[in-house]
Amino acid sequence: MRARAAAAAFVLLLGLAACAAPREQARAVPVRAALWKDPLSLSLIGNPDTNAEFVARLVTDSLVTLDARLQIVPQLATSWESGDGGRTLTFHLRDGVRWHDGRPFTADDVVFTWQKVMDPTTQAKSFAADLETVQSVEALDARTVRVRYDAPDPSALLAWRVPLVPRHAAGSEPDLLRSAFAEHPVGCGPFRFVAWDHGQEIRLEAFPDYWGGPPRIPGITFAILSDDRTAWEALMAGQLHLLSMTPELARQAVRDPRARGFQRRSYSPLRVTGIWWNTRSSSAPFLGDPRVRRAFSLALDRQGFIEGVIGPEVGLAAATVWHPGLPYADPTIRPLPRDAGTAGALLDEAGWRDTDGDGVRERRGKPLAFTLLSVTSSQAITERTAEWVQQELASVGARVQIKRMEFTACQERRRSGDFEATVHNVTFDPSPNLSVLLSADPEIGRMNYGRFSDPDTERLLAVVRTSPDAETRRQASARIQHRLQEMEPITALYHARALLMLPPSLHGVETSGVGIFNFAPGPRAWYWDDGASP
Amino acid sequence: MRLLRAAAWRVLISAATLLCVTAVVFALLHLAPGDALDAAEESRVPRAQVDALRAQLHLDDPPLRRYGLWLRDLLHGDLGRSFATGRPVRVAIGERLGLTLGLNAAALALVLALAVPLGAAAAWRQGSALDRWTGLLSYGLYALPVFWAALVLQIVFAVRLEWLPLFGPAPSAARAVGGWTAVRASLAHGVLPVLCLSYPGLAYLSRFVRGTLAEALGADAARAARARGAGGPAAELGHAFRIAAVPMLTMLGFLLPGLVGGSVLVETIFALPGLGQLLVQAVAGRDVPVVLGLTLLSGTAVLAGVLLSDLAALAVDPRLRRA
Repeated sequence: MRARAAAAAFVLLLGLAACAAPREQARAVPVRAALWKDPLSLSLIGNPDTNAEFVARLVTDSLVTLDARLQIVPQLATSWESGDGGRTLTFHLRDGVRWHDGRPFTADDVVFTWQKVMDPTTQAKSFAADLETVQSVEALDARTVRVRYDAPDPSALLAWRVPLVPRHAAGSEPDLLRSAFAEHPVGCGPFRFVAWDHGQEIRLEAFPDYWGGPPRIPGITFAILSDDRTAWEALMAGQLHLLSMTPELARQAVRDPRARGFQRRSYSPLRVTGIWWNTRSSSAPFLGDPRVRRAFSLALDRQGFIEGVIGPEVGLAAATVWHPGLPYADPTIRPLPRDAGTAGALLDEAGWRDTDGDGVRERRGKPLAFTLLSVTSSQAITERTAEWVQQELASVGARVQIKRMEFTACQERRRSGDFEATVHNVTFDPSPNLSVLLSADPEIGRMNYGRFSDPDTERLLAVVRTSPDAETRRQASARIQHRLQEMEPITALYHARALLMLPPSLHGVETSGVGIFNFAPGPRAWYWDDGASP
Repeated sequence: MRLLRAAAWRVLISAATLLCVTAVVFALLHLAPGDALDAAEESRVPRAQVDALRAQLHLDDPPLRRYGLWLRDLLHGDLGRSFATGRPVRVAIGERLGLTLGLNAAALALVLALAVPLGAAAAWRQGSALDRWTGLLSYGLYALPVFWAALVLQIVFAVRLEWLPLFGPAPSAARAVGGWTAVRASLAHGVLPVLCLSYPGLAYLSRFVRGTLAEALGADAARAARARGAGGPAAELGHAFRIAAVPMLTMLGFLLPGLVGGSVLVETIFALPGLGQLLVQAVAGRDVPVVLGLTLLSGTAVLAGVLLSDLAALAVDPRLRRA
């Protein structure tokens, strides 16, 4: 009897331990966060994969940055003015800013950063793409920089979110990526680089002399953790303080009693998952017909997929590739509801009918069939998306074969146009210029994998790229979104949401469309609640 | 003298084999769709930059020339630089080799320490309850998925009991202190990964030892030893081990390369920056210099293992030397 009671008490204790609130953090400890992969470089601008950019934006500042609502706000430039009909941009720099090694920040560092970004050996990728239209950068004096452009560029200001690099620390070696600086970066941001144990962790500490006032946490440590189950257990055990969840973990977060005391933040990164149709496919030429593409779009029950399969906490039905958080997103454009009747009528009109009763439509003896290219992924959501599309399109008489390939092979197929349709997802900068996805000009539309070409869209994209008038750009953007829903060059499926979990004692954590690290004040505003703090 | 000549000949053959292996791996990477620039997630890179990068990495050169360049650098002791990170391959491998080697050596030692006595006991008492239970345990362990076992071990020992760390190698701060602190931290961080790395091998090797010894115990030589009066488990098993030495040494030769072969699953689950993860990332990113560097390392280990086991077999078996 006594043994039974002891056993029952033991089980009860275990249960209580399982259900207890998250372990409280000791005050004034660095915040521990997870990175899914070791950054490729910490050179601040070179080889900037997503993880490297998180770190770079904490270690150094830019001329301008974004706030949580994705509005451009001053950072190291206190003001700026445009001149010469939009062909020059003059920045006035903040006084009294110092690099982490104590040297002053000057206009020459801005010139140096631009030079390094445009140096191919730096592999600055998206930063280089953003500054492609810059003709020259000139330091007028220690506190003034003038940038010249080939032509007026309304999104020029946003490109100056590029992280700044000090000439005195990074300029001695010709190849930034191979320099000692890439292992021990020096910046002027709110957090100072301390150490990088490759594949293990990156440690940053608060910079006490930061121009905007020091951060309220003593530092941030990024643990390199590529297994989401381990990351989850680490969060539950208090060894991580915040975790951005994969969709699988987000579902676990709902079920696991240990997660009850945690704060949850759901937000929508500027990302879209969709189907890129190859409009010039020789093996599936019917994908060049907008009626067929629209019929396929109408066959998809996006809301049903989100609610029934991936969960409403991790998905938002998409109307077009234009994320609702992007500037000039038109709120009147709604995701297409499933309408199998109209889809069937459109396919009939395009000449596709099921004449032999096998459930697959034909035209001139050829079946309505194509291959959907998808990436092999450890994330179940990727596989489920392709299977869902296959099922939905079967219901309107199209036969879809799914072909899965690893990422690099898949990208090679997309870039060479060697596919019929592909499920893909892209992440955006907060800019309304989506020419990279939609323009038929191969120099501009580098992600127009389906080689979509439409004179109306092309003209409107040019207006968004070049018009100095905001209202004109807004109107052109709205018309592009309507045109996208008519033409369906990319059938948008959903915008994946992110779920962030953090302990109850960590405060000041804001989310935005660019995540939790890439905007101001970002982690500088985080603090551990000591009872007296606001 | 004959042994030395044989060793020298085998080393030459091994070097030629290694060269062939690297050539085949290079050809496979060349034939695989996509290259290092396709692997980069960013598609918005200006064309001029892409062209400059292709030239810098020699991606548009003929494959024979690219392989030739790699061989030339190798002859100068240079394994090249990673396409992805720009870091020297020697450094990237070097900083992960110690961890992989340490974990695998510990796992191998644990496997040998347990599998040999278990296998010997089962062979000595064939058909007994001990034999049946060790068999059942071995097959059970062999069937256990590593990712599941790792998760259970983590939850029990790291999360619930808090006896052991959940993930990662020993922190650099502990390693920097040195002495007992560093050893204790390394041991604590190594326990769960070593358990996960060793149990499938334990299951396999204990069955192998049992089978080999059981066969040896029934051999004519063992019966002759018993007829000469060698009685008792120690003496009989001693004879059996000598009879079974050659297949066991051969097996050991196959196990040795595992010392530098990382385990992707265990490394991923326990967040250990080892060689397995490096190889997977390099193959996915078509990072040719890193893949070739790791091929060279693992190929050398395999050939060294085979060479050592062959030489050991020659040393212990006079019949092989005479042949």
